[in-house]
Amino acid sequence: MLPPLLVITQGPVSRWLVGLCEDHRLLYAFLTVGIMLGAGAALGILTEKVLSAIGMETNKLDNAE
Amino acid sequence: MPAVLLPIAEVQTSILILVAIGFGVGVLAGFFGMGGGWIITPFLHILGLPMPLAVGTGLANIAGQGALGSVKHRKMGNVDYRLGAIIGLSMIAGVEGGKRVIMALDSIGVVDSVVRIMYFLLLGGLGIFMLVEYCMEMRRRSPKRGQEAGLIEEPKGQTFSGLASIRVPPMMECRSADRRTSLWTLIGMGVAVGLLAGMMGSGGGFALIPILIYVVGVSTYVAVSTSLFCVMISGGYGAFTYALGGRADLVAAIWILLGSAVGTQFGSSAIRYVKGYGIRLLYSLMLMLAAASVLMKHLGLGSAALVTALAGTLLMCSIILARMARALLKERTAT
Repeated sequence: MLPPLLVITQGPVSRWLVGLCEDHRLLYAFLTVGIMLGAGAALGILTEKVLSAIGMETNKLDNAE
Repeated sequence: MPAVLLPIAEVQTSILILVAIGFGVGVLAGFFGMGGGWIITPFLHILGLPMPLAVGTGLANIAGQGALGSVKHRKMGNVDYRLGAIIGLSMIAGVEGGKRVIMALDSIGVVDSVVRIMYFLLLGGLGIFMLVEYCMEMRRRSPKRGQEAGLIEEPKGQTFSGLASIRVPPMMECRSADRRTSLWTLIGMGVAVGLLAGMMGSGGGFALIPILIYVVGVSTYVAVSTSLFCVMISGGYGAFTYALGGRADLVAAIWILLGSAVGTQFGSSAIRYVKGYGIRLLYSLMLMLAAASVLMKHLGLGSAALVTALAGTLLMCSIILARMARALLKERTAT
């Protein structure tokens, strides 16, 4: 039912992720959500700070109108 | 070109391609105010990911983009959290339903074809719709031709007037809306949009924003901000449930998110400088190109599909960024 997962030899992170996905699926699922939400929030704060530092304000939100 | 291995998908690809598509989609999402999940998922499929993995990875990326956008919009106070929580939690039910449909289609071996056809119809349909809307707007803006054709101002949101008139209690009063909406309408819409999102790996912003504006009655700013909050909830759940089934590649999602984080900022900055309805014509053409690339993939023309999808997205971004640069230069020389 599940796709066969190849144990990748290049890179310890890849190996670890594959192992996690094969053996600890619940942990992998929580890790995926946690990293994506955390990275998204962190990048949002970071890019906002960088842009305001260089004077590019993004105070208009869309172009729908 | 630096290569990266997508360990769960077992696909080797270029980091630059992933970041470039993330950047491109980010520019468009920031500029047009809606997410780009419905471009990312077919793109990942074109790169070689099986459709369930592409959908799961797309949803993981959407969760990240939703969080990114929500952080930005929270500061401006435009997010209606109560409304967002009701719709976002309803979307979870839809996403779970969508995932089950995808798994059922996967078990009988038709998932790739079915989702590809859905994408072809969605992207192509949306492209044609925007093209028609553009032509109608152009006719409306021409007073002489408008009089000749007997055109009158069409009330906005006519399509949604039926939904807005549902009065089944309990009725919800949203702080940012100009009318009361039935809780059941909100839940129903959330489930429907979530089902689409769960099956196609998109956030559903393209459906949520008009619904929030025309059915719930919030302003465009609140609609965009609240939709991002909903997308964060539904995308987060989608990423979780697909990852639980081994169908989400974290590495691909992160690289794309890195590109889109930068792209989104450029896109939202471009709004101040790039004016004109003409950009919508280009957007509709880009959507049709994306639909064509999905069709190419369906016909076994993988490389041509990849080039078409990448070229269409990057061309559109280049036009927006070039116009922004020109306007910036003009502004600086004038001061």
